[in-house]
Amino acid sequence: MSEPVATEAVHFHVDSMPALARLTFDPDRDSALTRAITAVLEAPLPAPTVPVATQAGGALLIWQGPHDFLIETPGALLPALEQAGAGKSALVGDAGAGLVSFTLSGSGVAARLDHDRPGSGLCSRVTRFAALRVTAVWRDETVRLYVDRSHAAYVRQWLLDRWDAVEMPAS
Amino acid sequence: MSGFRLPRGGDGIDRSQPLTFRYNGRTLQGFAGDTLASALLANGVSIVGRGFKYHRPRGVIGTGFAETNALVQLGEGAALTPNMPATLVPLREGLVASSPTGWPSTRFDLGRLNDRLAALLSAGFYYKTFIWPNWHWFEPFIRRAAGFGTAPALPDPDRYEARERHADVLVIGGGPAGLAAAEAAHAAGAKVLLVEADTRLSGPLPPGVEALTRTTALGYYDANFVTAVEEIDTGALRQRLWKLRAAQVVIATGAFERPMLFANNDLPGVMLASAVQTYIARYGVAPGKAVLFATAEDAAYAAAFAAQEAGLAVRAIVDLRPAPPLAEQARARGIPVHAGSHVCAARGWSRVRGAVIDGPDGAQRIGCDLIAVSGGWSPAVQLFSQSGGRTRHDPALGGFVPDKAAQPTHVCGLAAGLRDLDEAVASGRARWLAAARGDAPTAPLPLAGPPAPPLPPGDNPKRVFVDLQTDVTLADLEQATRENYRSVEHVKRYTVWGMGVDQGRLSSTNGVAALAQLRGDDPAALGTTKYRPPFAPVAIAALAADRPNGALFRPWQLLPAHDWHVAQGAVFEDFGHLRPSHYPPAGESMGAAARREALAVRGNVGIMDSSSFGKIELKGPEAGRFLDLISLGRPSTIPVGRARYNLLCDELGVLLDDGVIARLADDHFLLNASSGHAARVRGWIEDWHQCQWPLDLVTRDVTEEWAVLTVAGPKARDVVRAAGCALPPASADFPHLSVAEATLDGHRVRIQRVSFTGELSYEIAIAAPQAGMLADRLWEAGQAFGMVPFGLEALDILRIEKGFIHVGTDTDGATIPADIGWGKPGQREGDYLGKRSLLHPSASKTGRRQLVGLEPLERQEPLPVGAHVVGGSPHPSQGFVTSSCFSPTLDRAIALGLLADGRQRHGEMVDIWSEGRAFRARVVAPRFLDPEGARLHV
Repeated sequence: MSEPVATEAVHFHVDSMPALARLTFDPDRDSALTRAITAVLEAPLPAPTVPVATQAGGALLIWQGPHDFLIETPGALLPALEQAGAGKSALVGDAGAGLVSFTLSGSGVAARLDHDRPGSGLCSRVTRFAALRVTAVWRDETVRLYVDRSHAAYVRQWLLDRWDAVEMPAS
Repeated sequence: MSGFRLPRGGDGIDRSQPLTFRYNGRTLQGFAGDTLASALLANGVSIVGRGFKYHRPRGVIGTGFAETNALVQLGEGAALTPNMPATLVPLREGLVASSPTGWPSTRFDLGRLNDRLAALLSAGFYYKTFIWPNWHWFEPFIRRAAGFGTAPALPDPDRYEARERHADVLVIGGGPAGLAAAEAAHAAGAKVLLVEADTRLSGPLPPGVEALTRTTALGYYDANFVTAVEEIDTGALRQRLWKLRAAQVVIATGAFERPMLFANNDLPGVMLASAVQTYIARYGVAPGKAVLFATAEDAAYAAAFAAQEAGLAVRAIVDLRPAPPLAEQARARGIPVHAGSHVCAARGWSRVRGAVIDGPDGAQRIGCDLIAVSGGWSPAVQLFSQSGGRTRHDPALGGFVPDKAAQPTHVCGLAAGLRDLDEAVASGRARWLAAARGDAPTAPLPLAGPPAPPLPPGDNPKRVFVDLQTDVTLADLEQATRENYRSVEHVKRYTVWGMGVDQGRLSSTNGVAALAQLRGDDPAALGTTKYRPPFAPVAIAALAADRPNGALFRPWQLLPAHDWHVAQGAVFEDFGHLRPSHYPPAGESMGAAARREALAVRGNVGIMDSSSFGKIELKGPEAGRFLDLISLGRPSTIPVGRARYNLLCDELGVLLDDGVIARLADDHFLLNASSGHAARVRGWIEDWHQCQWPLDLVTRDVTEEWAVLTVAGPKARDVVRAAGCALPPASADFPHLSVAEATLDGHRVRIQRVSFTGELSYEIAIAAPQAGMLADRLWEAGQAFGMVPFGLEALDILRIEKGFIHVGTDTDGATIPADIGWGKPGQREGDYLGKRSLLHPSASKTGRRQLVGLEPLERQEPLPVGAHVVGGSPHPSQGFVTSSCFSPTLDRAIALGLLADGRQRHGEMVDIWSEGRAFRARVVAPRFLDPEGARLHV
């Protein structure tokens, strides 16, 4: 018989300045712009059916909506994307200024969040957590939640109080 | 005392682990593995409650969910839990329980006087008796006398949580049929989840199947959505609400044994035969010493044999059937069998002392202290019924069985009416295999088992209890029938039959059978009442488990520089964001702090946090054109590097929001929205862009990415420069309503010269994580200039002095731009949202409520916000006060308001009324200070 899930632990750590870029543009409107951007990314854009993609340089491309993409660890991509979007209907910005990441691990994570997990392995979904809209990225046994900065303290309190989660030092 | 612990036996208890608990103030002992009910029986406690209406003594009648009498209150004070069946409460060390009924005690209850007045307390008596003069005079007394328990008065200290789970197959019930279904489903490759209310399953869990024990399915809703509650009791976590969804649901919830109807069938010592067997086998408890079995089917014989083997005296088996198949076997064991007989009445005052039986040999009394009854079995169709499934009456079973499913639901085992173990197990497999093939849900497999007997008549219908929990008797059903209640639903509501917390689990079938007998009707024609969630009592807190209270009641937001404000002594107010209201030194009131801060801004310089204002970027070749279409300010004509105050209106021309639009580049705009309107405005813009004007642009809400600190006051420029932000040397080079980008310590900042205070003002935006650094830098620079932090209260004073509106506060659902002094309706060239409405004559008609200033005659007394401007007879409202304050700069109270034809009434004295208080005020232009705006352009 399965053990009661109440005993399953959740650990988390917070990164208040994640390396993130956000790209806003309509891939279907301007094919030249789309080509320019995919050339910079060296990877196909993520889509609803493939919501997360790994870029050649190691950056992670995350689909957040039809015109809305998050880029994890963008590195040098940011200025190149800004250049590609100059004069076009495209906005590139430092999403790390507006988002805080919570990385959750431990045996209790799957029990609590797997019903939202869209697939196995690396996958992502914009979902609802603690009554908030968040972007969740699953990697094996961990989940990273991107939360609006103004709500970060609330989510941290939620994890501590509602999940009895244990906060770990930021890595 | 009749019950006792047997010297041996009890495969569910651990005799090496004694537990101490308290019940009704007495300290008692049990063993690990006991339920509260089994421990009470082992301690000889026979009276565990009192009847709802007549206050007759009641004892434990069943096990598990088949319990209707032994409702107890657990815990004390804030931890009090009412209405828990003692049969479902696992015993634990230190458990405190009490019976909620009976005064002065459960054993001796003066309320039993009602039993003598039974003739007056017939069905619906309170509907008829307590009408005059007012039902509500009597209601509290009746409720107190009849209540099942006491609701805790203190906040619940326990914690609850909610979880969700998806499965291919959800099996409800861990009996043989349920386990078989789970095993078969898993073998077919399905992800299987099994829930079982008991602490243990009936057998080994099939490998690969996940099971939740102590988890009770409560409700079965559309789309195979099932709720269940898991009892935890570890630490502060008490219960977990499960929200389960499965492609297929297998119901294997078993069946409830039916009590029998005879006089005094409610006495302590009348118990279901299966319960007697369970208490002996699982808990090593004998519920009595001398047992009489009253039955209509074979299962009771097994119970009788078990009782005899445990050392109890089995006085007789009274069987309704003329030729019971197991009679000879019983007689061979020395147990008298009275075939074709029935129990007429139980005898005893506070518990069973004997039974009167009648049959071919005539009536006789048999001494006993326990009457074990088995009136047949009723499949547990509650969840099936909740799912929308139809039931049908099966005359062979004497009860209702599942018929046509409304969802992918499959019923097996006893719940389907199958009483043979092998058949039940086979049905579990078969149900699943049918589901795996994608077969449409079908009617259950054929029923097995002997036919149910007719109900035995009682010798006094007022003492024959159909529903033990709500004290509904055969006489009540007779009365309802005489009064021509036809529908079982109406009878239920009239007599309260089946309306207790057990939802009629033991009484439903007997009630229908009795009604049918009374009418000479077929039970199939009557049907059953509809079962509704929850199947079992559940704490309301568990249902609200994912809706926390306290600090987590709803998401709150912190400003990026929250810690800095805390260090400055801010008092916060919750506007979604926790925003500084004021910064009082010790002992200073809010009003005094606000006035002090406002004066400092007017005379010197102040700093406030504007980070929560909405910031929406629009970029693209057609961004300007799009903004022209959705706003009144023609943003496409704003030069790069400049900003403009702007209004947004809806299709009716009604004000939606206001704010400044800055042009960052030819194709790039920044729209500032009010804090409270930011999300709505963003959604509204996307709506118009996607659905109406899909022009070549993109939009993005960057509110979270930027922190904004505002430095306002005559010395603002000095402070900003001292902080290291490079500003053009001449004011004219960076005039009011300008925007520029700069760097500060290597960080990109965006500076807007805009003002909501009427003073020289700079809004400095920086990446949100740098907010604390920027605040420190500005604060340090501001010390030489006497800078103070100011909050929303001071800002309110400053904006009212200037007549700056707050949309939603100084406007209502009909305010159009002209009402606040924004030109003539619809005069702007080109098309834009709301223009057609603003050109309509109604936008120019007289009587429109227009923004005005109000100066109270009593200079020191601010007008109440919301107070009405009244006039004429009988004093109809001409408008109302929208914002009000005491202005420390003007040393008088001032207010803004909406007043009919207000612009034509400047100078007029008006009467103002609020909650019985009258005021007089002069109508003035809504600009109390610096009407020319000179202070903005220094």
